[in-house]
Amino acid sequence: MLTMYKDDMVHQNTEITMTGVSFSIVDKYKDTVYRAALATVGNPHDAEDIMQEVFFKYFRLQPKLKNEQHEKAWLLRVTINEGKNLKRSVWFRNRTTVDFRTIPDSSEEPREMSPVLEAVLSLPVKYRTVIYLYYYEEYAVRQIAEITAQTEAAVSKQLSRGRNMLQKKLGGTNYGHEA
Amino acid sequence: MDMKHDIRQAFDSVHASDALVEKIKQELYQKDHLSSFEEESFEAIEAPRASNWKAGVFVAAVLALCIGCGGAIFSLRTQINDFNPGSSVTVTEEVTESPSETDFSES
Repeated sequence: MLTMYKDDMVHQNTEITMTGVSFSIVDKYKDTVYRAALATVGNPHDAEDIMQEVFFKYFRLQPKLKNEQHEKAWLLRVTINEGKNLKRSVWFRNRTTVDFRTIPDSSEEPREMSPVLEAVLSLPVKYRTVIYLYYYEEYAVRQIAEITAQTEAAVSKQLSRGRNMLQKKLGGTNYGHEA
Repeated sequence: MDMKHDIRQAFDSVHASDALVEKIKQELYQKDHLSSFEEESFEAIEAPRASNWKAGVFVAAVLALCIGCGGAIFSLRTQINDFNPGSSVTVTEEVTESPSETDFSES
């Protein structure tokens, strides 16, 4: 299952040194990690915490990755795992649910969500993560299975169910039927 | 309506805030400097490592002691067996010899 990451950990990212760390990786993958975190945890505030944790982990572990593709896959995998860990935590389950759209944001821009994004984020976590990886990141089922540490059959089933749920939420059975 | 197109458009509108990115960079920078400082100070106060020959001498001494004790116990046990008249070897010989002689004479 982990062959994609373990076998190919040959390439050392030369940007990272003990004396002078280059933060170009943060700029490069900030949106990717943030989107994956949002797709996993479902709200922007937790997504920010996850994003922070993922980059800390990257700089702490300094994984030797073969190329950019593997670098991105590593970051996505860690992001999804961190998100799942957060959702499994006792603190997360016991906290009071607050609609994040009603909270005033500290950043300059007000957060506005499209109906499609709202619909995706309202899906159960296992469906929305798979939907995000398949439709947005354009990974194949086999690659999603490796990233999420599941079987291909499980991913296909989650993709199919997630798609159906999304169709119902966004406009009935006619929605999303591509030619 | 294309689901893929809509989902792509929806997630394209999501961006990590610049403030968050700057905060992460600052914390990483601080952590990096802290870790390199800690390493330097650790190197300075680190005790000199004990050389390997001391461990080798210790292992050899323990081994010699074990061999010596084992040898002494073994030789002591052999001596007891040889000079003890009630040892198992002597009794066995007596028991096996005497009935055969008796049987032969009676027949």
